[in-house]
Amino acid sequence: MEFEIKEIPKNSEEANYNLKVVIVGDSGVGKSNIINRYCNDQFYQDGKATVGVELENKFFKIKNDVLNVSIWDTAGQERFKSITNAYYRGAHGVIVVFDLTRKETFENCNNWFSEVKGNNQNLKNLLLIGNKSDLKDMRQVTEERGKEMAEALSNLLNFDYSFIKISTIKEC
Amino acid sequence: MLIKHILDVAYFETSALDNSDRNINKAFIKLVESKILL
Repeated sequence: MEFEIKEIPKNSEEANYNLKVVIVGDSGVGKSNIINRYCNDQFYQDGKATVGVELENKFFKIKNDVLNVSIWDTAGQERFKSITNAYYRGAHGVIVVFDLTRKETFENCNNWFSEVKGNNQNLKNLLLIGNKSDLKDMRQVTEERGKEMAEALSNLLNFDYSFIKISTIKEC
Repeated sequence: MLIKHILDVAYFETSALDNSDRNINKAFIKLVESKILL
């Protein structure tokens, strides 16, 4: 399928499609900085921890359609989990972020994935991001391990999806 | 096989400090593309 995806300025045209993306991961992995770099091309060296949930929007033109991608930035801290869980529902895509220089944040990706999946059974689009790749000397997670984790998550998703398909066929 | 292809989890390494490889942009575009294809 051939199509051009073009970024357009915020609110320059009325969107006829919406895409909800939620970004999750441990506190301090750089979720807000990723969004801020992408949406505003800015980076805050001394960024504050996100409180609850924050929202940014990005607009795209695809053929004659306008797509509004709303990016929900969630707090990684444990004390906000009851608030952030509600935002997983209805998400079309989820980005799980870990810090390449902190192995424990990588090991927690499975927990984040389970939590999101538990609150959104229809989840199909998932990205795994290892952030802070500029800190090469401090790396604790190799690119190979990151790819392995992505593959393991793919297999989990595919298993769930196959199970749903088989159940549906049996019901018919 | 088709199901596996569609539901692959993409992996990106990014730097919010120095996004000169534009991997952050590529990651978000990948999500948008996936939504269109699904």
